[in-house]
Amino acid sequence: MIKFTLRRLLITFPQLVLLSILVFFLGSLMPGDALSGMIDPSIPAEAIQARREALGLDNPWYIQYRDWVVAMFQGDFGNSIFHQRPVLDVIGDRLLNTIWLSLFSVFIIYLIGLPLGLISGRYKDSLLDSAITGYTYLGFATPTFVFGLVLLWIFGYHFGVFPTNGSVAAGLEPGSLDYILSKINHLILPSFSIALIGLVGTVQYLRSGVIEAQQKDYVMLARAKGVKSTALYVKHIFRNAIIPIAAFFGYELVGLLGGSIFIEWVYAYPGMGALFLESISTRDFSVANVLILFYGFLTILGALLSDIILSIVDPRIRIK
Amino acid sequence: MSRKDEELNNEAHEEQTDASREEQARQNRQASAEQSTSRDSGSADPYGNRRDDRIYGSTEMSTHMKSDMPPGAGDHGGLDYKTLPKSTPGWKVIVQELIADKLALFSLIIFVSITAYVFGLTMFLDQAQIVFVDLFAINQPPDEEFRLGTDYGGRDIFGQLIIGTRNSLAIGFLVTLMSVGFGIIYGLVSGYFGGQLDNALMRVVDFFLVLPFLMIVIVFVTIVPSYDIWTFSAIMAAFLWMGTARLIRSLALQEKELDYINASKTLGSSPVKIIFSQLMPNLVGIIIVNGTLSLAANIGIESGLSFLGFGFPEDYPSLGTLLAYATQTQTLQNRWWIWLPAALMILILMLCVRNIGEALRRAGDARQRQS
Repeated sequence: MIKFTLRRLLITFPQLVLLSILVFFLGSLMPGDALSGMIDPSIPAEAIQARREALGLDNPWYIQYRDWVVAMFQGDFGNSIFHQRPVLDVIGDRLLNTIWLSLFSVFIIYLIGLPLGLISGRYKDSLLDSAITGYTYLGFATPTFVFGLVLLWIFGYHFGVFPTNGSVAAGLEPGSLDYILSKINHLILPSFSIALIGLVGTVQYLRSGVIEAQQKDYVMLARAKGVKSTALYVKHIFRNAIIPIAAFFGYELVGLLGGSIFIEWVYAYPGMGALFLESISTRDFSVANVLILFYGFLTILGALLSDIILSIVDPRIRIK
Repeated sequence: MSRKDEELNNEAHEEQTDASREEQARQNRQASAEQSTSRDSGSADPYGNRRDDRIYGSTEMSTHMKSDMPPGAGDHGGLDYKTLPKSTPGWKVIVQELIADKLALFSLIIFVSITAYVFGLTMFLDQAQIVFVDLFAINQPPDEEFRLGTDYGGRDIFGQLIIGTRNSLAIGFLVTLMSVGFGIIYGLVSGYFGGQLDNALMRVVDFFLVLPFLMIVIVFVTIVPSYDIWTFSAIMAAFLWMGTARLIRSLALQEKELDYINASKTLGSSPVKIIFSQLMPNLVGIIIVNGTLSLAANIGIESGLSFLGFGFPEDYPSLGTLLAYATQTQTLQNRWWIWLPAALMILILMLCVRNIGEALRRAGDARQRQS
């Protein structure tokens, strides 16, 4: 187990290095540098040149890269040109919102997706199963942002039951009950938009997993021994069918963190995805750059997490 | 029937009987046809490896069976494959499957009509006139003059929808062609040569897979100096080829162990010839399925990028551009005619292409055929 995790970590390291190099080069391709936001005509050119040298902007790329990485390890991610604040602070403001949105969405995905998949697999070819399969078919073909727009139109504007933008109502004391309720209220539409489309994969995997497990010998044996149907499904079939889904948990969570760009945009939800789009359109590339690095890092982490979870729930994988 | 025809027929026949044996082997291996029906239709697998077990099993069986038969066994009594019942040729299976699958047939008809209509009509429509700003006709609801009303610049929505659909389809095809094409070559090379090269190439794929796709594409779109359809498609394709590459590679790994490849190697064929004129044609079914499903995804991704404002410029509308109008509260709330048709069009296109792709996938897999 530990050996597997270590070996898996070993693969992660070069990926991280490559990612950082890519982001570094993207950063140097983007217009502007650390001084862009601070220069105004009253500053003499020599002063700018001196400052550039002090910051090491004229060094060869590998030295700049090394400085950049070292600075990041010391917690210095540069300054946002647009906000005139450290990038980390700007992102920090939005981070929590996105985490809430993702957690809420994952929760709904499993809350609805698992029962649907189980029912669909257990009562295969029934009317209910056909309805669920039809739904997954539709879900696969619907882009999240289209679905989000339609939900916003229907429930946000037409019926007016949910707030249409933002993450919390204005003028509420942070930490009070009203504040938390308002937060949840703002989360409902975005997270359902993500979850109702995102759960189709889970449903399909679980359905086929259940159908496959039904025909395994150990299930036949349990049935022959007289295990009750419900217990059979819960204790024997479900536990095996859940393996691939458990394995994708890491991808799912991280995918949502990144995939929420569309939904945050549609609902004007102040998360990191929206921040990324804003920083691109305001040419605030220092923020955009750190966000790409952050998301890439998360994806690598998600893959790592998934593999480790898989090795826990399915010991056979460790042998490799 | 001329002699040439007869020869061709015989060849096809031979191939098909082989195929039917493989089929049997497959069916024996797996007791139930049902269990994989749904398993195969899951497309959320980030590895894109899900066909491996089945293909591996079948090729293993068939090589085994073939090597059991002495050469020319068919001529000396025993198992005479020429008298075996004829199985249906490949293209016929596909046609049969599409007809048997009412949903897929329906989807195909709709998709072809939309494509034909849109491409036909845009030849007569004046694109400059459609994107012409007419301030006297701002935000008009549908009426006789403007079948689907107008947008905030007084531009005809119906015309934009037609052009947008054409542009979205065209870019979808272009990106699919690029990404699948590159993925095929990459996968074939990696799978055919195997060993250290394969190992290295697959680590590259792994790296591309962990990149945050949407963000990287958006950044590239913003910083690329000369920005047009070709660069846009190339940028998208540059980060979308990995799934195809992995799939083709895993199939090529198995396929290259078969006798016909070894025979060709022994005869001294160059790797290029083996890969492209012998290996690739045998994977063409899967390539078509993969391409169709990618097309559906790419249409969605392109409209998503245009929706965020990182796709086409406004005077070159795509379906996503029309949807982007809906980010204005007024438009979303009160002017459904601007964005809802485009939303429905995306839905219909993606659904149709996916249905066709799924039907083709079933056609390529004997256990899942409906006819």
